[in-house]
Amino acid sequence: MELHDIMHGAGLVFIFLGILTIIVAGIGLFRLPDLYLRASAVGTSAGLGVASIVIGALLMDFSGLNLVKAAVAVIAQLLTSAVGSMAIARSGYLNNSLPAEITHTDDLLKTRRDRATDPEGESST
Amino acid sequence: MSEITLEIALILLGLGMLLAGVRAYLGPKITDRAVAADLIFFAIIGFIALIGLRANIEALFDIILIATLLGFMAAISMARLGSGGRR
Amino acid sequence: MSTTTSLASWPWRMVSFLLWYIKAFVLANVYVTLDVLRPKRRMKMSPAIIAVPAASESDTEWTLISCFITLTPGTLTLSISREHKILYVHGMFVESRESLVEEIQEMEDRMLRALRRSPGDLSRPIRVPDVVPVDEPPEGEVR
Repeated sequence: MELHDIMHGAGLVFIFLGILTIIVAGIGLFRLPDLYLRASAVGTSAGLGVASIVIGALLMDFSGLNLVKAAVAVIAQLLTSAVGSMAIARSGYLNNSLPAEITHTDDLLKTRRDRATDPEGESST
Repeated sequence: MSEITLEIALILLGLGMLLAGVRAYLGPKITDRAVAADLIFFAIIGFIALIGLRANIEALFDIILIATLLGFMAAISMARLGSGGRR
Repeated sequence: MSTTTSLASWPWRMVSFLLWYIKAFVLANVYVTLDVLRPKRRMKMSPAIIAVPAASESDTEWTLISCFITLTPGTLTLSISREHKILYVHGMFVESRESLVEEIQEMEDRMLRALRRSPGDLSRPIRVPDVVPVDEPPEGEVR
């Protein structure tokens, strides 16, 4: 059963790749200064991380039905994680999570009502 | 998958989860926590996949499918909570 | 794209967009991962929030373009204004306004060509209109 061994090994590689992506995203949560950059870092594990863990699990336990389920799961994960991170980023902007100082241009600031004095933003922390 | 690889994988995943957990504890705002909670959820999908492979669960891919479909509900509801209902 | 018989090249355009997107997706993942692991002094990050003029028309196109932008790590759709045809994009590696605008518009061009039977009008407003903040935005203006 050579093919079986190859698929098993490839599955392990994919699973560890996904785990590594999740750990890097975890490190990114500390190394990056503001919400939007952190959301970008988590975006890597939302897409590539989960997808490669699912693909790895598929390679280790392969069947036609599992292939269909895994494909649907990966597509669902990609779509829903995009919607989720957009919702979080938007809510962060409404909740006065201002971008870090290294952000050199902020076009959205022009369109925004000034809420800097609004204490409501702090109360929900 | 041998016992030792499984253990290494679980420990690494737990490490990632711990990092996200600390950020969720520290996070100055609720949206930072929401991002961290998102990452914890992805680590949980990893746990499900690993343990499911180990225990030979028949319905492993159904569980993963449902988990990916439901996972973003938490993100959406935390986003709504963070913005106080504003969109 | 005007010389090709549009209906025959439609599936080809879809496949080529998907392949191009997968390439861009993987590359963006690698960039973000490397930058997170780089020592602080050598980090290449220069984040910015840029108003990108967009050519999308229908609901489907607006939704898909913002999903695709968010899905690529490093770029994030914060808000859209359909009235002014603007996408507000947060980018992680933005050297200048033009570079991000070009990147997003290339993705949008490819996506619209893949989605539409014939590419149609891909023009965008030349100048970024100044969006004046209003006290209470009417429902549905800023989403």
